[in-house]
Amino acid sequence: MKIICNPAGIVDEKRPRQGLQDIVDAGFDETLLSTGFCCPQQRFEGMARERRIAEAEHLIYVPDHPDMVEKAMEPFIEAAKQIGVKMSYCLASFLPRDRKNPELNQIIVPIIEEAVRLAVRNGCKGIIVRPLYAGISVQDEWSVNYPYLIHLSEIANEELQKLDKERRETLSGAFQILIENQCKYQEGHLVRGVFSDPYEINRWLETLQQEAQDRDYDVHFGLCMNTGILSICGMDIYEFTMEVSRWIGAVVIQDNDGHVEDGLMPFSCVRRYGFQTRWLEVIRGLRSISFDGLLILNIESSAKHYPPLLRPEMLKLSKSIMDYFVWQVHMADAMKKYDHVVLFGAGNMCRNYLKNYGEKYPPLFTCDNNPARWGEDFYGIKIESPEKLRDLPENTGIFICNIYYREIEKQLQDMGITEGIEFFNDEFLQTFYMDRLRGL
Amino acid sequence: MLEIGVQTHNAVMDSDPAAGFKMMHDAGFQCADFSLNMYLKNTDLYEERLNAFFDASIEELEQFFTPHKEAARANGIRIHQMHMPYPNFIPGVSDHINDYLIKEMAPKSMKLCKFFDCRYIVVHGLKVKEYYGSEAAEWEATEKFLDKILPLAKEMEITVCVENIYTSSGRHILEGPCCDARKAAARIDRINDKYGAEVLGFCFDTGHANLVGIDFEKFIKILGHRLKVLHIHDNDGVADLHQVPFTFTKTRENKPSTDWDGFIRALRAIGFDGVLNFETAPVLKSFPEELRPQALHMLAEIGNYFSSEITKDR
Repeated sequence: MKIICNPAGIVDEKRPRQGLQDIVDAGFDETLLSTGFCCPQQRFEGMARERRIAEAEHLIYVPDHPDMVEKAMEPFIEAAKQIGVKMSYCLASFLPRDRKNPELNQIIVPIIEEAVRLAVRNGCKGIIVRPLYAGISVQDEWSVNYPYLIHLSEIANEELQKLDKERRETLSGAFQILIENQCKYQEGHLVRGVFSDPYEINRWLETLQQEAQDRDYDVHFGLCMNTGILSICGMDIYEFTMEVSRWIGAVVIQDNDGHVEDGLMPFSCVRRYGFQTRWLEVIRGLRSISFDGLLILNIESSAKHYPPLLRPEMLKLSKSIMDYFVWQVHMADAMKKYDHVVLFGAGNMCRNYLKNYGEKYPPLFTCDNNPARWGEDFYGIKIESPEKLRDLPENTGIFICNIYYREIEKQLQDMGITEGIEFFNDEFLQTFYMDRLRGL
Repeated sequence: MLEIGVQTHNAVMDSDPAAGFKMMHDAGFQCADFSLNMYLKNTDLYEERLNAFFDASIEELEQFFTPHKEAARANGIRIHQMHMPYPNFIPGVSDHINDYLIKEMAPKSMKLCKFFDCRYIVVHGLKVKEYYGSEAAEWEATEKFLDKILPLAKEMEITVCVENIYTSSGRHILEGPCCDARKAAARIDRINDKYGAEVLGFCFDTGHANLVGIDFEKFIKILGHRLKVLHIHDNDGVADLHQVPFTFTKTRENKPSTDWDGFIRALRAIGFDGVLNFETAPVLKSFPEELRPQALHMLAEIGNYFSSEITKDR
C-alpha cells in the first residue's frame, strides 16, 4: 500500500516549501500534485472577491485563466522537486458542493483538463477527479458526465502520445483516471449524490472503461473511494467496498462528524459513545479485498487550523495513523512470516484470534502470567507459563493478545526474548463471534 | 385521492381509545398505524426488561384490544398497518429474552394483526452485522426470524414489511438493515415466490432514509410495487426526531433539507396507491395538549397535499 499525504491545509500557495518539508519530515515520501494548490474550491466562493485578492497578491486567478494552471503550479512543483517529495498522482480542482449554477461547470472543466495535461507531463501515473454535479439533475448525471469523462481520457491519451519514448516507458501501466464518489448538497444537508451508488459506479466504470478500450486509449478508469464522503452519506463502508472492489485504485482516509465535510485527522472525531466514522467497516473492507493501492490522507481541516508550531507533530501522528491502517489491513501478513505462532494472553483477544485466525495460523499454545490458569484448555489450546517461551522452535512468532502490549513486550525483553514479538489486535476484526448468537 | 394514516402512539390511550380515534378522524385521517410496539418498548428490551404483556394468552390480548378495535370502527378509522415490537433479537442478552421475543411476542403480534383486520405488519431486521461481519450474514439471521412468522402471514393473509432502519457509530447514524433497495427487492421477490403468496413487502421510512442520506427517488423506484407501507416523518438529518414534514431547513433560503419533491415524484412514478401514513408520535407530545388536534390536522393536510401531488396525473 502506498501512503500519500494530500497537501490541502498543509501547503500554502504563497510559500509551499515549509508545508512540503513538514510532510517529508513527518515521514511521508509522497504527496499529491494537487491543483487545489493554485485553485482551491474557495476560489469559486465569492468569485469577485477572490479575483480581487488574487490580483492584489499577484497570484493567477485560475478560474479566469485555466490555460495558466501549469504556470500557477510551478512553485509547488519546484519546491517538491527540491525537497524530494514524490508526486505520482494528481488531484484535480473541484467546485464547492453547494453551487447550483450549471455554468460553473464550464469554468471548472477547462481547469480539470489542464490538470490532466499537467499530470501526464509531470510523469504522474494517474489523476483523481470529481464528476460534475453543479446544477445537474439526477436524470442528467450520466448524460452530462459521460462525455466529460471520456474527453478527459482523450486528453490524457493525447498527452501520453506526446511524451518521448523514454518518459513513456517510465510510466508503467495505463494512466489512471480515478473518479471520486460524491455526496450531494440537499439544501444544507449532505446526502448521497452522483457516483455514490455502488451499482451505478460499477455500471459507469464498466461503460467508461469499455469506451476507452474501444478507442485504444492507454487509460484506465477507476474509483477513488473517499471514506469521509461515504460516512457523511451514512453508507455501509464495508458493503460499498465489497461491491466496487475491482475498481478501487485509491482510498481517501479522512474523518468528519458525519455531517460536515471536514478533513479531520482519523480517529479524532469521537463522541462519548465512540468514533463518528465507522472505522471498523473501513478496515474490514480493505482487509477483505487485500487492498494494496493508494491510501491518501486528507487532514485539510485539522492541518489548516492547528497551531502552526504544533503542525509538524500533528503530521507525525497522522503518519503513524496511516501506518496503523496499513498494519491493521495487513495484520495477517505478520502471521505468514512465521513457521509457528504462539500467543500471549488468554482472554477475549486470544479467543478472537482463535475465532478469526486460529484455523489458518494455529498457535502452538498461549501463555498467561496467572499460574492458576497454567494447564487450562482455552478454546482448544493449552495455557502455559511464559517460561515456556524460552524454548520455542525456530522461526516462531509470539503474538501478544492483550492490550498491555508494551508491558508484556518489556517482560519478554527482560526474559531475553527480542526476536519475533508481534502485536495482535481485535478492535477491527472481520467478525465478533458471540456463540450465543448462533442460535438464530 | 390516497388514504391518510397516522400512528396511534400518543394519540390513542388504553384508558379511552375512542377519544383518540375520534381525534384522528376529526383531524382528517382515515387510517391508523397501530403502535403495538409501545406495549413492549425497545428501550426496555435493550435494558433486558421484559414486561408481562405478551405473557397473556391470545384470547386475553384480543379481549384487551377489543375496545380499541371497536373504537376505531366506530370512528371510521381503519387499522391499515401495525408495528411489531422491536428489536426481535438482541445480541448479548440472555437466551430467555430472545426466545420470548421469537416464540411469544412475534406470533402473538401476528395474531393481533389479524384480529385488527390489519393487512400489514412492520418488522425490523436483526442488527447483528457488527458480530457477523457482513450484511449477507445479517440478512440470513433476519430471514431465519422471518421464516418463523411468514407461514402465519400466509395463513392469515398478512404482508410482513421489512423497514429501512439504522445503526450508529458514536453519535452518527448510519445505514442499517434493509437500506439496500436492490437487495431488498430481490429478497422480497424470492421469499414471496418461495411462499407462493405476498407474505413480504417493504416499509419505506422517510426519516430513517433522510438520516443516512438515501436518495428517496432512486430507492422508491427500485422498490416499485414491493413498497406496501410508509412511515412518513421528518428530521434534521442528525437525529431520529419523527417530526412534521417540511419542518427542517438549514439555509437562509429556508427550503426543506429533506427531499420531499423526490418522495412525491417517486410515489407518482411507481403508481403508489397505498396509505400515506405518518409516523409522527413525538409531534403530539411536543405540542401542548390543547393544540394536539390542530397538530394532527396539519399532518392530515400535509397528507392531502402529498396525495394530490402524487395522484394529479391519474
